[in-house]
Amino acid sequence: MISYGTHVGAGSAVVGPSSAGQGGAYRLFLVAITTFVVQHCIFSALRIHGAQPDLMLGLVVLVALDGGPRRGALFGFAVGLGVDLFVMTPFGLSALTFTLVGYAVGQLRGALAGEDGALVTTAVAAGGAIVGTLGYALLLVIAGGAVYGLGWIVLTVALVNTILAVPTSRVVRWASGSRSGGARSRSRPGLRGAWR
Amino acid sequence: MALSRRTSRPRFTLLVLTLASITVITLSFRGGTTGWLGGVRGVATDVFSPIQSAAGAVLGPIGSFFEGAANFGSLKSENAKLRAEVARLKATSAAASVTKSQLAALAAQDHLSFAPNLAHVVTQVVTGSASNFQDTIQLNRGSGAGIRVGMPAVSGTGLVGTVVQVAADRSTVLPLTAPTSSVGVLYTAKGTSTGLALATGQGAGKPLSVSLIAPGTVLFKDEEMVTSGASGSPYPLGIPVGTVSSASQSPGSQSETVTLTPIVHPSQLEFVSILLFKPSAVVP
Repeated sequence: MISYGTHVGAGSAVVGPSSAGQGGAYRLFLVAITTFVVQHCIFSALRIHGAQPDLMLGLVVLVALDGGPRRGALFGFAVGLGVDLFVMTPFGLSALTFTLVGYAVGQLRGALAGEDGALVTTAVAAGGAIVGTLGYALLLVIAGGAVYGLGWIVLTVALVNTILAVPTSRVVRWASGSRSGGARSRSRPGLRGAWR
Repeated sequence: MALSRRTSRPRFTLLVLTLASITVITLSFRGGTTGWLGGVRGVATDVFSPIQSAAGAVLGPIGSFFEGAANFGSLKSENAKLRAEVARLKATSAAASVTKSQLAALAAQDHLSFAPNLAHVVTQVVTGSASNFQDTIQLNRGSGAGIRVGMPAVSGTGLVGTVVQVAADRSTVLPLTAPTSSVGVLYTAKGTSTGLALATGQGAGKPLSVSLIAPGTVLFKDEEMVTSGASGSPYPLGIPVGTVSSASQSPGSQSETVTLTPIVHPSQLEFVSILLFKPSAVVP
């Protein structure tokens, strides 16, 4: 069973079960690129009432859930900027949304200590998809854009991201070098990696 | 102390990243689509296009499978219609193939009846939009073929949209149906001469909304509206835009509520022509 939580050791609060370091950052970068290609070549064709899944948002949610608020925000910002290069909505809007979502989901991590991993992953992926999509739509409207068919968009993103949450979370945990909580994480209490 | 530093660090990161995002958004609004941002997006598209082509060749059939699965309901009704059509075609001994229909679509691009004297570049649709919040079409030719931002995109039957971004061998078109698209159109009212109106997109699959039509104007059902070609318009005169589907007037309103069914459905296109047109050019 995967568990998420805050571990207390050596007098300091430690967020996250392991350190990622540069290797983890490279692997996460590769996972992000691969996810983008899959999104662009496969999932952009999977349209339900004109709405398509948003794998990149799902990835940000799961990385934040695995790595905490700082990594979630950093990863969200980087992925968001990358996504913004290929869409015609205001540049930086995805970066802002993903940063906020990454931070918020990362903050949840501590509160979910000891909960069942698969259940938490699925629930947070669904919630993150809904909040992230609605947040993006709100920011787009504030920026002067127009939004149509929001219900179908939210439904499609939430549905697909929820279905893919558990397998994707395993890939994320592999990429970031994470392990389930327990002795291993307690033996490495520091947050020394630059990525964190 | 250490605990305080640990908890404040993510907040500081969030603050910095949020400010950076807002700065980038502000800069992108100031720069528009043709400034530094257009250049950066063009480079990104150029870098990604070989990966996209290779991955598309491998993963395309999987995407088509998902597309079919997602549209199963509409496919069933379409299948019934197709069966009837096949029976009719068999009766008249008419043979049709995918290749033939593609050739017909391509031939239609080669001879544009509404713009016979304008040079154009025929392109193939590569993919749709990567975003849920902006409908765009990506084409397989770009600045190398003479395509520039702002040029009109057409099919063999009418207006598709406008080029909004160009890379070396890719260009992106914002369809007329996008909520941020609008085009000046000419209409013919019953018993009067032609008038000028503005057609605005309302999203994919939805009719265009037409404004600036004076109250009391009687319009013909299914009447075709064409681009006005007004001074400064990015479109030449006479490109078919859509047909009148409804017209109504609410009491006290300054204009009629008119909707227009687009002649071209951007999501069904295989080929798109880009008119090498500049607003200052002499329109035939």
